[in-house]
Amino acid sequence: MSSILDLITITNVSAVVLVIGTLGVIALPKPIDKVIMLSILQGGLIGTIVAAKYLDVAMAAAIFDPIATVIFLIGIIKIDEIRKKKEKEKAGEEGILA
Amino acid sequence: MLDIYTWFYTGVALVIIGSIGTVIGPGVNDPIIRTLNTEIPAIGLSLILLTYNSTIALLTYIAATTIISMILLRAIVRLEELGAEL
Repeated sequence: MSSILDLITITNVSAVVLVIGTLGVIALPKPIDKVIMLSILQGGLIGTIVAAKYLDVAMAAAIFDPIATVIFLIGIIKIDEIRKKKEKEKAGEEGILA
Repeated sequence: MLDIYTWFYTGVALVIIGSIGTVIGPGVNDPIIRTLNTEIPAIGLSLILLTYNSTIALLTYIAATTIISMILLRAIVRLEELGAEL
């Protein structure tokens, strides 16, 4: 006897989460939204690895993924600061010229 | 048995969709957005490695992806500071 509840396994749910994360990362334009959707993608990866019963690899993935997220956030904040500073410098130069 | 096919085809779909998204996705002229999009093929490749039970390769690849994203972002920020035309 097979019912619709048999489809709800760790593998299938993780695959759905992975597809949602992929579409989110590609479709959303702002970098901060992309980082959030990337976290969903990494959650799907960890779920898939757990479904394969490689819990040691899942542990390593769980350690490395937040490091990647933090690095991306630091980079986005830094690049935003640099761009804002450059815009200000440009506006200041134009003000002197005018 | 069905699980293995799910992992494999999800991985293949992620590699293909992610690669196309990295090349012609929305807003990829910004290097930081392009770097974020490259994470999708990396995760798809991890799923393919999982299908073939390559545990050590999977472990190494997850670690290497983190380290390479660190180096790439550092290079992008530095080039932006210098004002280089990329």
